Amino acid sequence: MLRQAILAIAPMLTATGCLLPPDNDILQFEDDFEACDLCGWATTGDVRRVSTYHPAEHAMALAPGARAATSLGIVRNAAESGWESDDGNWVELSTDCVGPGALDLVPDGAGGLVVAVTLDDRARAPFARHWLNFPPLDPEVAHRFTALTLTTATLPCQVDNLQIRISGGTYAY
Amino acid sequence: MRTSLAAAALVVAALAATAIADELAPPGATAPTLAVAEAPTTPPGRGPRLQLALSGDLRITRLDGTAGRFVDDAMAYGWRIAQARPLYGLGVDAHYLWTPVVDVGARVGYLTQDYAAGTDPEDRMGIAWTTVAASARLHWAKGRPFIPEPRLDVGLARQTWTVHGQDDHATRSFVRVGVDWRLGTRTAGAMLSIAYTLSDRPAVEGPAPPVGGLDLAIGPYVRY
Repeated sequence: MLRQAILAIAPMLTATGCLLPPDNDILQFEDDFEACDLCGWATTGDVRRVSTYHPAEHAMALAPGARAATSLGIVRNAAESGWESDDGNWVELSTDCVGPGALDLVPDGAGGLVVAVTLDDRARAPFARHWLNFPPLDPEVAHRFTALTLTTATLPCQVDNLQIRISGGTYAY
Repeated sequence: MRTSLAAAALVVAALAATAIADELAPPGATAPTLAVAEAPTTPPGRGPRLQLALSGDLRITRLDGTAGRFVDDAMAYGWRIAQARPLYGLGVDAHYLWTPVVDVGARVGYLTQDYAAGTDPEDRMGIAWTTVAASARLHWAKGRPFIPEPRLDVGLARQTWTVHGQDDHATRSFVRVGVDWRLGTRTAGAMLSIAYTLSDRPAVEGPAPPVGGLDLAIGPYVRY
């Protein structure tokens, strides 16, 4: 049900500019949680926008077992040249959970993929930057990413400066 | 005859006056004299008592002990560029030249800098550091040129920390220790200063910009 709701509002959010324009060909999605109070996010459980180290610096705080999802409109086109690889696509985030967690690509049932991030539940730590690589993507095929989900397990996590970068193999982490 | 008596009376009066002066002076401090009419001596002129100085200030915050941690924390939080860049600004000193060895006064200053930028280069993290301090300086150059004079400033700073265009204010304390070189005359010239500023630890869990470090200052001074 939630997935269908996300898919339904994706074109609307794209049209209203909630998805930031990329600063280059790589940055395809960014949210620093500063513009508004979790606009564009559908949440389940206790998910809030909180201040962190400065009154003007905000993050998304997810309680244990919470889930947040937002729609995407990212298309990775099929390779135009033979040198493009199946690597070089990743999620970046800053979080106070000790590790990056795990990333999966889940079919949304409509030909697209949901980028599903499960946040680390081993321990909490000072904010650190983490990178989560996409699984290998067939460069001969176009991929469409329709949603991003964040999920916590047993620990609360705060997340900020969330980005999705699709380089098509030009860059890699 | 009357003229002789008058002259004799003047001589006696002069001798009496000399004797009184000798009695007041320490033994051997005043040579006996019979001079009747010496030109009155003028007291030595008072030197300048107040010094004002204006300086352009540069603080190398890279030498603050927290600079490395700030860069690490800012990059970890997601800022795309973070550097312990030097603070720059102006300062004004006013010192009372309290002889013989200490100048006492006050200093006010203003320093500012941007420390980090986000994905949008216009999205900056900046600091404005407005200070007032009590100051004391050893005054031992005594007019000799280019003699370093140790100096201590203790003060408070009003810190304005701007993130994403929003200000956050805090009051910080600091100590500044260094030396001044005065290049000029007794009444005007240029002042060079090198000092190190230590500030209290900010109560922040995250990237706190470094505000201490090595100070370099140069500017004109005048004395009144």
